Amino acid sequence: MQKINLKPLFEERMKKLLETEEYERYLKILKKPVKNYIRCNTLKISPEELKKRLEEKSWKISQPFKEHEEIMIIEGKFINNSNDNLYNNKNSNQSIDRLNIINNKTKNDKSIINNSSEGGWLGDGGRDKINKKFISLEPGELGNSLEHQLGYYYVQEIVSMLPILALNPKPNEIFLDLCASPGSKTTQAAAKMKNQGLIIANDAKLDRIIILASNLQRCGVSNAILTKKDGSMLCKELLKLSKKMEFDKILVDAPCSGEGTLRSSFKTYKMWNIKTISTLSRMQKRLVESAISILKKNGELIYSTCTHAPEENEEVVDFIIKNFPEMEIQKLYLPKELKTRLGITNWKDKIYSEKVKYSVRIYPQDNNTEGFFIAKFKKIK
Amino acid sequence: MTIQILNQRRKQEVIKNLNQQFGVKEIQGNLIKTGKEKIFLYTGTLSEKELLEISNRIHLEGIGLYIAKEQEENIRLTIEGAILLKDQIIKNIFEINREQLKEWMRGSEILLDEDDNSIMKGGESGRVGGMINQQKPKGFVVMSYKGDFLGCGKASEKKITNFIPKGRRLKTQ
Repeated sequence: MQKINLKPLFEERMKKLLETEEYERYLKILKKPVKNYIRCNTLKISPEELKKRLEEKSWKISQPFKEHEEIMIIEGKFINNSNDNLYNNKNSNQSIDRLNIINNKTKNDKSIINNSSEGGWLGDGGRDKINKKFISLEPGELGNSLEHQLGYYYVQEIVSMLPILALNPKPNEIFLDLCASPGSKTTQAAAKMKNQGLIIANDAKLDRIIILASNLQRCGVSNAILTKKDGSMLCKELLKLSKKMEFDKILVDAPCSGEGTLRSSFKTYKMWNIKTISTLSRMQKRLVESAISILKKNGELIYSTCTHAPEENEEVVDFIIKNFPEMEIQKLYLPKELKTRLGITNWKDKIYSEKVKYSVRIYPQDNNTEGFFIAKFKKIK
Repeated sequence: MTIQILNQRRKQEVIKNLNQQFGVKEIQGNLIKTGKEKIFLYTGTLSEKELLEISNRIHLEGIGLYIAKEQEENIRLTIEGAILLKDQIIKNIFEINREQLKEWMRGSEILLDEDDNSIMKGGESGRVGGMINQQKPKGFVVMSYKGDFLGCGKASEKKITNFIPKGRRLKTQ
């Protein structure tokens, strides 16, 4: 279990957002590791085939969303219940710890010690054998499998999949991913679009573009163009083309303070400070304003962040509602298995439009996920 | 990035080479080169004219999927190129066994036994039946393990050279 010391101001803000009891639940969930979500890359393999392959590696797979078979959780793996090679396994201590967590046994109980390396990244460890133990995956194991390196799946938290589920880009549509790196949502969109239509995947920094390019390559994306521009500048330049380029769907998954990623990326949280939030809020408004200028009539825009800060969420949504009458906020259709909450309509001394309630907040304690915020708009005129 | 969209004649030349090497007969979409060697597949809807205008006005960092590299008058398929064209690839497939897969995915070359061609005579997947009478591998071969295509290796007298990019290699456990 992780030990987490929250910064006082962060704590104060979260307490304001959540009731006391909720806040306790929030703190509790922060100490737990996140679930291992993956998304089957349907450009390369079907969910059935991937599931079968992963199960042959003795991984336990669940598919929590009836209407989205491509979304899977790797619950853990079965390993042989033998003491062989105990002292040759460099990861044996970690394995024992993970095993103890799952089986509620003590470290001294040697009967549960296993050689978890037998399965390895090629899989089939423990297959066809009886007397198995169930443990969680090794750290990094999800990204070090043959299936991952061949681009058959993408390691992606469920909340990060929601923007594309809500936007639902279709083959032959023109889609802009304004802040695309590392590419989880771009690759998800490409799969939905069956590598047809057009994706422009943009990010502002070269190091992030390199990661984006490598993920698009691994996932076999062939309908995308990559650009490295400040998002607002890119929109301006696209407007200048002789045949003005307008988009059917735009995703502004904006750079944010990352408060929702505390469970998996404590590094992001370490950089958290209140000044950054107001700077980010201004940048986010600038990005959505630019994106609106290149959205087609009847086109749809998703604004999302992985933070809880209302200045970066509802305030940006409120900014769109009050300044762009052509934009209509939409009800979001997300997997019904997920618990979501309405956007808030006031924060500190600010009162937001009632329509902001159409946006959705997701807290980590609601579904044992990361935290997220998402809102959808349609350009009606 | 300057892009060069291959015209029909150039595209057919590439396909002809791929046909000679691997049996590939067609590729859907535009083939694009960004330099001398790398070939990208673009399946998006922009016309050639639109693509060229965008690339002239906005600096592009990448386009489409890197599927092959023209090398020494031959073509080497990338992992994605091999996966994409999997259903058409019928020759120069080198089926490897589980132990070789471990080495290959770690980036190691595969050593060939000088007297033994058996490794080319069909593999575990049964997909390489067309190779039964083939001689020892030479030049670019598509590496395969139980139906998974792993890109190309280059076979010489004694070994098959590995081209798995560092970022795609599996770490030793």
